[in-house]
Amino acid sequence: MKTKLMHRILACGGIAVLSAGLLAGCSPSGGSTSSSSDKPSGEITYALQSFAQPQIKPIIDEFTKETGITVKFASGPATDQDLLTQLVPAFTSNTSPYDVIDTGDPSVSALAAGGWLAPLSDVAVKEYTDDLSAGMAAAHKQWNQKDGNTYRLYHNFELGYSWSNEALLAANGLTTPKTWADIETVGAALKAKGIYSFADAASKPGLTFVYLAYLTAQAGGNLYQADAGTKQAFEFAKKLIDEGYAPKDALTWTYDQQNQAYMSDRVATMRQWTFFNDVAPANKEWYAPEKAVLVDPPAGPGGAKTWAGGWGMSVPKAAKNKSAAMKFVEWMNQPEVAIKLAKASSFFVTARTSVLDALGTSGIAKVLKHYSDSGFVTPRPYHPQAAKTETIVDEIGQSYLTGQMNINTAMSELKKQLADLG
Amino acid sequence: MSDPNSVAAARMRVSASAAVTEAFHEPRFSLRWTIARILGTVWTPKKLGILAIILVAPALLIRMITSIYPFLATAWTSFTDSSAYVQNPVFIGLKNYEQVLGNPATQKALIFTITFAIASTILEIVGGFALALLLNAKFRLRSLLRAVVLLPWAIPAIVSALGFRFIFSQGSGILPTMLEYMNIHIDWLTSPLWAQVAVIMANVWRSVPFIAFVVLAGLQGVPDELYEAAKVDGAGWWRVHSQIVLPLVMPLMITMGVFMIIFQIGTFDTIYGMTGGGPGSATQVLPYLAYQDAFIGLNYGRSSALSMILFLLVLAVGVCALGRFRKFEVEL
Repeated sequence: MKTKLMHRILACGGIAVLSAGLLAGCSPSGGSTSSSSDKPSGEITYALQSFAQPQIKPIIDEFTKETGITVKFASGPATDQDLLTQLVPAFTSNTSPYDVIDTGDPSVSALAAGGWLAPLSDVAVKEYTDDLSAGMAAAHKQWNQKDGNTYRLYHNFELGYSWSNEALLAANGLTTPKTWADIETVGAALKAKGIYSFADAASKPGLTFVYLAYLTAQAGGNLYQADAGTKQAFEFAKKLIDEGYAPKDALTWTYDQQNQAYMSDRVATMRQWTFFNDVAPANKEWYAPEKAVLVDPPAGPGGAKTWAGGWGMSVPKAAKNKSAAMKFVEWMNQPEVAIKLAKASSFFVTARTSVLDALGTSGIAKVLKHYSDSGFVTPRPYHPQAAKTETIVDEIGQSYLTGQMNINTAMSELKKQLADLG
Repeated sequence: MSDPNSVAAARMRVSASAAVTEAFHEPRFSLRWTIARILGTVWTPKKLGILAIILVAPALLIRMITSIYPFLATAWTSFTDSSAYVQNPVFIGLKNYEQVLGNPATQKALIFTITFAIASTILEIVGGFALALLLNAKFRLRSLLRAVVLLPWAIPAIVSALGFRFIFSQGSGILPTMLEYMNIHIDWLTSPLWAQVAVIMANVWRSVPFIAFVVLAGLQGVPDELYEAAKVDGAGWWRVHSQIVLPLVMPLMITMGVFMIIFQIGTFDTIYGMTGGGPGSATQVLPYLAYQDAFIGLNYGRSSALSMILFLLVLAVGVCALGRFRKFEVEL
């Protein structure tokens, strides 16, 4: 009886295993989605920030038509910290909800260090690197490559641009500030009217770093050295708040709140990313070209500077349909497609030679070219553990700006905490 | 197990045997059928023991996988240099603990975590009791009010945190704007002290209804005769509530207090959504630090050490509070 029972159990087990195998083979996502000839096919999921999805959809449709690979959009995280929070748990268990992900600078270096990204194909990388302008090539080498492999291709190369509400300034008999001293002068003139001369959203997480890195670039400092330039930048930021030339509440603002303040004529000039170029004209009640003029960055002791960073496409090592994902990245980064993408969305504007040649005479690409040619652009401060170091700058920066520590403590604490990372 | 020849054991065998015979008539390969086949029809204490183990095993296994293994894994990781940047983590003893406890940011976060939990709990208990008294009173539309009062508890913490971020926001937030009308200027989220007050207020707002409803259940258990007897004795509202009602619901409130302190030591979403631990590190709490170390710094060793410290803190609070609670029960 026992033998019979064992046979039955084994038989049932066998059937179960066989059924599972058959079911897996039949399921739409089961097994490989590539055909027997290894030609990429099937469906991929691309995690991209929601606002850019409808803008590039027609180009994605072209890709599907050409390759037969369908692309499903997923709403990608908008910040590096959210991206790491969402994806690291999945990656550590060797799974990925997406086949292609949009990664920012700090997140790509963390994910590559963790060994969770697949090196991109040589074909895609070659065509892309041949098309890069000098400034972008340096950033690409710094952020996207590790141990000779490439883990990301920029589709977005962002600069912190300077916007000036020249109409507001003119109404008050003022002009756009060109230096730090000018920002103070304009601030003093506008203060009584409840208008700030400058603003940059600097909330945690991440945005405080962006702002302080921007000022440090203008001071000619190195943020991760906590040097004299960094100290000057921190002190200038605090002075703007203490004197009422910049809003203290910007320490809690998101970029949407910053735009709102600017478009309520409460802020005369600001540093903002590319997307404001689409946001401003969309506010038809408020917008006039002279209210959102792209101007040169203000000059600090180190000159008129801003820093560049960006977002790009990466393929997780655990992607379900990796071959199709690689094909997608390769196709999307061809020079002619890059131009189409840049025309479709400002989130796909880069300093690639092809893009600048095709679009560099108008719009944001023209300003990007001008900034690049004028030597305004410095690279984003690099650290192999950038996600963590930017958090450190956020905390120490905010602590100093809200009077929780003095400048010397802030600088020594910054140095110490960075050194602790090794 | 008792003597296998005893009458009780014999009775158990008979009833178990009947159960197994019945199980043979279950559909083939069902759980009961399979167990009956494995154990056969003759029941002995040993076989009953095996059956007990088989029946308990799934629950035990799930518990092991979901609680004990992660706990032990976290404890082990806290003694290693595990991080995304280290390929082969090695044992480093108490180094992570030394680093974490020696860091002023952790000390500051530890103090605020405790302050946040205790202040929130006291306000929630007081507010919850007051609200429960109101909801226990007889008036028109009481049911509607009860439903409305519970709404904050139904809102996910992260949603209410983001809402409060805008409510407290200078320039556009409703609270600073209202206060400005009264010539009161408070930098809610940019002043370290007021930011701490703001996150505690947001947390209390969300949790008070929960406490109120638990206390309300307790209040409804207070017999009407007690109120009537007190009235006959000439006791006023204050005396009735302070000397009769409050002592009766006190065990409930203490239990809730202990639970709330423990829950709130682990608060993450309110801080994450409202201030991100800022300004600077003014509203930083231990769970948020652990999160930052794990998911932003990708330093699993240090994050695990922080998690273990958090666990010890919760354990200490739990043990102390439980001890006090028992003492209170005995005195009562």
